[in-house]
Amino acid sequence: MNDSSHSARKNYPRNISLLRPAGNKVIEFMIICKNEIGALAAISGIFAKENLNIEITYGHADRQGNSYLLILYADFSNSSSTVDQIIKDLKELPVIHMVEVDIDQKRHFDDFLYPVVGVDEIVPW
Amino acid sequence: MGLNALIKLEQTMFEKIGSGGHAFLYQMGKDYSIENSKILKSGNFAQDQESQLKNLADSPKAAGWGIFDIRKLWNGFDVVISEPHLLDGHTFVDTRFIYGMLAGSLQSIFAEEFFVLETRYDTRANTILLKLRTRTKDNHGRNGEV
Repeated sequence: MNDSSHSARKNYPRNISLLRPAGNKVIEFMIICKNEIGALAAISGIFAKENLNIEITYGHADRQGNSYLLILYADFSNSSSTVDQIIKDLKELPVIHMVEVDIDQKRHFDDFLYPVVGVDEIVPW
Repeated sequence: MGLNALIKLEQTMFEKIGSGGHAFLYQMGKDYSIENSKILKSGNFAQDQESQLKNLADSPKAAGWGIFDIRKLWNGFDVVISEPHLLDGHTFVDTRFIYGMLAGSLQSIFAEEFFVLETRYDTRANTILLKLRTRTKDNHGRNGEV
């Protein structure tokens, strides 16, 4: 039987600053998709098919629960694919509303998220 | 600490000890950012001034202070802060902590000291204009364009 008390359970770090992972072929994607079963599986399948490792993900549904915002950093160092090809493949998925990327390798922080909100604040997007 | 709590702390300091409260928070922001800049000067982070300026603008944005546009002038910087954090979501407060943060970060990048010449809040556009100028032995950090 697992002991889930705080004293026995290992804790893991909460990364709230969303710093870009190390590596000069890491690209940030901002994806807005339908909030439905299988959407994330379809998206991650595009990256897996092209041998792209997903380093960081962050995501949440909007207040109405219709759309899902996904931020991810993909490492292209072991892939022959291009950013443009991945954008094209993503946009062909029926679950996708929008795809944008930040290709600036010198940027430390994510480029898409603002403002910072708590659970009780309503900010439409 | 949340931004609302920090702003309220500065307001309380002002009520208790007057303008010294603002000066205290300005210095806190400055020292905080100087320490923070040491982290950004290490590891895999790009060290050219253009990249450092870009990341200086992104850092307070990631913390929720606003969207920062930093413009270099011959005698300092003009910083336009769009969509600044508003107290409880609706009240603008002239927070010296963030001004100190910017002054400290710029000092770390350019090895010069800066002082606040002027701040202006545009209610209609919901933007703050912050004028930071280089402190020299001639102006001693006093207000007034040189």
